Amino acid sequence: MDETLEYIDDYFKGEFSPTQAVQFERRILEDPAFAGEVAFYLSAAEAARDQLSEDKKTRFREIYRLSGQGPARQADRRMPPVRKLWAALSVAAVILAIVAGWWLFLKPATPQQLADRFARENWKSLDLTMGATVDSMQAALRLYNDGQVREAGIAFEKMVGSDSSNIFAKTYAGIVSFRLKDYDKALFWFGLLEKKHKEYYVNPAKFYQAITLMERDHPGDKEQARLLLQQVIEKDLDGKEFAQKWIKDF
Amino acid sequence: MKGSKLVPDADLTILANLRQAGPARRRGEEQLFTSYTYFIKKGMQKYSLPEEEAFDAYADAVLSAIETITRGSFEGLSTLKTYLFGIFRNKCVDLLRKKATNKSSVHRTISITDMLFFISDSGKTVIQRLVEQADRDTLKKRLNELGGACRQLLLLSAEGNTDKQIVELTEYKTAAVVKTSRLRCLEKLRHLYKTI
Repeated sequence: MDETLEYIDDYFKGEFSPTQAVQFERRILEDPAFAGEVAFYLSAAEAARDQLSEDKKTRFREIYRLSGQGPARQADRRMPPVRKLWAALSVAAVILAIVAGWWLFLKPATPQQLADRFARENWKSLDLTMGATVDSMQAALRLYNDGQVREAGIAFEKMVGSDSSNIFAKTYAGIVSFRLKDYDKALFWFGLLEKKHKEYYVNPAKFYQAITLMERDHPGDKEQARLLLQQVIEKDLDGKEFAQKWIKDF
Repeated sequence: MKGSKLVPDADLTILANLRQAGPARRRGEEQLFTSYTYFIKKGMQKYSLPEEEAFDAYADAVLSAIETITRGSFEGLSTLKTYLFGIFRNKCVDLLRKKATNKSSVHRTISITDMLFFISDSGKTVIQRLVEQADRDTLKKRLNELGGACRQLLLLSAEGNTDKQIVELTEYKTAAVVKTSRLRCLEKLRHLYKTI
């Protein structure tokens, strides 16, 4: 490791004594190459900050686009202006919390029963306002809610094909696979959701993978689900309320 | 602060999230952004800005507010809505004034100024001149060429996370490993920047 960079880093992390700081500053004046290194360190930090802001702005743009408030949705004036996707997710989180409270009194016996009940309560029909930013999404959700689950799955997968950043299509594709008892495929979609969308912290991927494993109940699934639920709790991810309750039953 | 007449509970939740690291902060950022997106429409109507520009002004205002809050400079003397709208209005006015120039220059971080405060005046002048000569666009380009792990590490550090906090947010085992990896990434960035 470059000792000069470490020396500069220690200075800016405030790890120097006053005497060491004076020596550092004197070196800036006496050693042009060292001054250049310090300037690089600061320029790199600034470039990283700029990039961070750009990344955040990109994320905001994506949230805004998926919320249906962008230009593509201007025809839909009936929607309240603040009808946002993430607000909808917050509502979903509240519903999750309510259902979690309800679960407290049921004390279901096995992880598989827990997963099964969750799916019946939460995935029997999907909220049309969640992610319903384009007509094709609305149409696919309607298919799902009308019981045409397989057809809805094809539509969601098609949407992912045309827009690989569409996290909702991926989520729904996973839910469809779960409903069709194709658990391997459900794990594929939820796994993809986790790997490709780490930037979204409102992301239920780990929790949904745990549910799928609980439902599939192959040898080792229960242990793996437990690990995932543990991560959901530790990292304060979506589904934490459920995970905290369920993990006691493992 | 809970129960304060000026700060609604929704604001308290956002502020509490923003003052943490990692997922909670990210959630706070998204909560703040989504809470007032209707400002964009207001900006379009009031300042006759195209949606894209009103969005830029809003996103930049949110980023400024996040920076102030995470640095601990937000005093809570107004609601987040009022505070954010004040910044947004200024960004819109800036945009109107700077329409002929580069939009992305509306949001500029002040981190470099902060870091320069460490250095005494004479050294500061030297470094400031050298920093101004640096090609920041090329640096950003090289940063993005570094690869996922290095890029993530440098951005987490730039966000103000300490090496210890980075351990909690990543798979790195100790703060010492984070520091070594981070400095190696910086070294790699310097190599890319200076040789390509």
